[in-house]
Amino acid sequence: MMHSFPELTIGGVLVAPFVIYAGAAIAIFAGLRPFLHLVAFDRAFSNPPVAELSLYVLILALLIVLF
Amino acid sequence: MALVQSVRRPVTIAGFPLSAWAFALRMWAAMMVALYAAFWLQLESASSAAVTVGVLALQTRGQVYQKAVYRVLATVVGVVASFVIAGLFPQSPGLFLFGFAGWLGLCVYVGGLLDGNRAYSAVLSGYTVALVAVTQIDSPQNIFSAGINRGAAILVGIAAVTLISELFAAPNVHTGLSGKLMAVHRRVRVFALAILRGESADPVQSANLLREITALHPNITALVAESSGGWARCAAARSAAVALVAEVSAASALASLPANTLPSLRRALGEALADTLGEESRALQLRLQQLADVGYAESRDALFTRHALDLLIENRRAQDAIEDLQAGRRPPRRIQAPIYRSRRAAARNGLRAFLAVLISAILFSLGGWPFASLGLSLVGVTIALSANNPNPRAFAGNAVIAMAIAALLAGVTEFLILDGVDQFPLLAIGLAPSVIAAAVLSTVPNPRLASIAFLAPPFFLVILSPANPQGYNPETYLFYSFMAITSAILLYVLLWTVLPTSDALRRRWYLTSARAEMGGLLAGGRSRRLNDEALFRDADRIGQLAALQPAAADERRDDLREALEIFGRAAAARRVRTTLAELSARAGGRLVANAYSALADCDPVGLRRAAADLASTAPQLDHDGQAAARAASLDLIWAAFTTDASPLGLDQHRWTTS
Repeated sequence: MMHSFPELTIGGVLVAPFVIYAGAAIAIFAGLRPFLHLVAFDRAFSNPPVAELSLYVLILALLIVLF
Repeated sequence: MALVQSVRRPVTIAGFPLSAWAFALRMWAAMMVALYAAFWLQLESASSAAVTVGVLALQTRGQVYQKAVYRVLATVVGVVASFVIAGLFPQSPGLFLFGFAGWLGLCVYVGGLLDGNRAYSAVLSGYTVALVAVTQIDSPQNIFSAGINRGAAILVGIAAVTLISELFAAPNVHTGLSGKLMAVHRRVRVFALAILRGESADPVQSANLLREITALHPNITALVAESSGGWARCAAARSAAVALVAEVSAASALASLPANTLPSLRRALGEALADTLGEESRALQLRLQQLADVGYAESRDALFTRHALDLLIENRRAQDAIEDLQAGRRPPRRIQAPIYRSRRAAARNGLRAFLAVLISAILFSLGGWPFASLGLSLVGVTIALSANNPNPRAFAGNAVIAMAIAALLAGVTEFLILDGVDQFPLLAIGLAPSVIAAAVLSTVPNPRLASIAFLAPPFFLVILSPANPQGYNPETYLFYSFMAITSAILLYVLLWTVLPTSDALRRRWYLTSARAEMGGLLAGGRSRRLNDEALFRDADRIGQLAALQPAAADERRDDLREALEIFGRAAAARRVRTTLAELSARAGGRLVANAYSALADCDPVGLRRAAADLASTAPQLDHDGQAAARAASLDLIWAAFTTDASPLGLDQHRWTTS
């Protein structure tokens, strides 16, 4: 069965489903930030920015696969 | 003892450090990724994605991310404003331009009340209307798609610059910021040590220290966006900056006391400040606390002890907060660092932007040139950006030079280097020399050259307008370049002629506002801010005053001396009010009524009498009440002392009538 993607329409303009997933992943990542600080996420990696970027990509991929 | 230190010379290429080249290559790579993605997505304004990278070409990750977030928010606001303004005046270009000028003026006014990237986002909300709606003034039905295209291109540019900054390890704000805070802390300690040796406090030196501290505010706010520990680091950096301002204030208070007060304590305090490990400092702090609890027969000794204790406490707070910043810990103290912005200056800037847009609209429409709407929108963009600059005239001068260089580079790139090619790799190679050279030059310490180099890439990309396929139309290039340079020259002329704001005028506004706020404070006006927060805001005003360049050095010194006197007196008045409020809560308002009225009258005799009354009634109170009465009595004597010491002190009308 084909996986259908949600489409957003603003004033007749179709917004690509990827934009919605990317936005939702940003919102989830922003919500996770206090928790990441609590568990000292940035001290567990030698390059925290890349680790955070990877986490963001992981969330984005999960959203695309699950929804 | 000879101190041997090995100094490692940084590796340079063509006179620029490797970090500058790495920054330039990151920017070029981000720009090409953005352009490629925008072409691939077939966005109409693909060049906006590359311009976004040029605008976000800042050296640290935190600054880039903060500016990116504000750029998205401001673009959304600006695009909505474009729809509203275009919808309100659909058949009337004159009224539409009037509405745009009003919106831009309002945004410039709001931007004038903010700092750093927040101020940028306010003016961007204004000039987005210029880029989205004014350029489509003859075809308003296209405004919606122009807005959507611009928003999409900006998002692509932001995604590209974020990806490249993350993957190629752009430097963090917090490492540079903690280095700067440590350097300022060292200078504040040197300043305090000189005062303890009996030297007087130079107003220019004090003001420059305050300026250095408060100038870090935009970097402090950028910490939030940088990492998951950004909030904690931001709170720590704020706490450090506020403590450093309070340390300068305490050192200045010590400077106003006679140089022969408690010589042995002066020596001990000097040794404690020089002790970086803090053991001596903690021991002395404990001793001073005990001395303050017992009290002194001589009021000057008591005042010296109190300010010495403040100095030590703030020195320790600053040190701890800097360590918290480095470790990414949340500091124990939660404090804000409010900034001062002159409402008059902001209103004048807003009015100037409004008038400048109207005047240029009239001139461009009289000219009857093609691409006039582009020229007008560029005037709107540059006047809005100039308003955010501490020196708008210098910005306008730099914009003229940057625009001319950008036009030349765009012509050379389009017609000599690329000359009709349509492959993306060749476009990327063709753009490399201009983009990399400008990014490298933007890192030099010379502010004029750095500003021109920062402005040139966005202007270059606007004139070149990379598109898929590229037009290679010499006529379009000539008109674009002509309009761009004309708009920069027009901005320069307008800034010199329409409501010019001289440094002398700004100086007068800053001093007037300081006097007026002092008057309000003496009259009993309560602020919701903590004392140290209000002190930071006052320090920000002095920092801005110190940044102005008046004609004569003596005049500058006198202005700074007056501003610092008000700074010290306001700190004393706020402290008296706090301790009186504490005493009133413990022992009732009857005890402190005389003190409040003496404070409102600026009456040093009355203040001393109220202090003596409090000291005599203290033994009747409980233990905590006695401590509160002793603290209030000492603060009243200090307020009387600062009023006596100030040549402006006995004239209370000065605070309210000027």
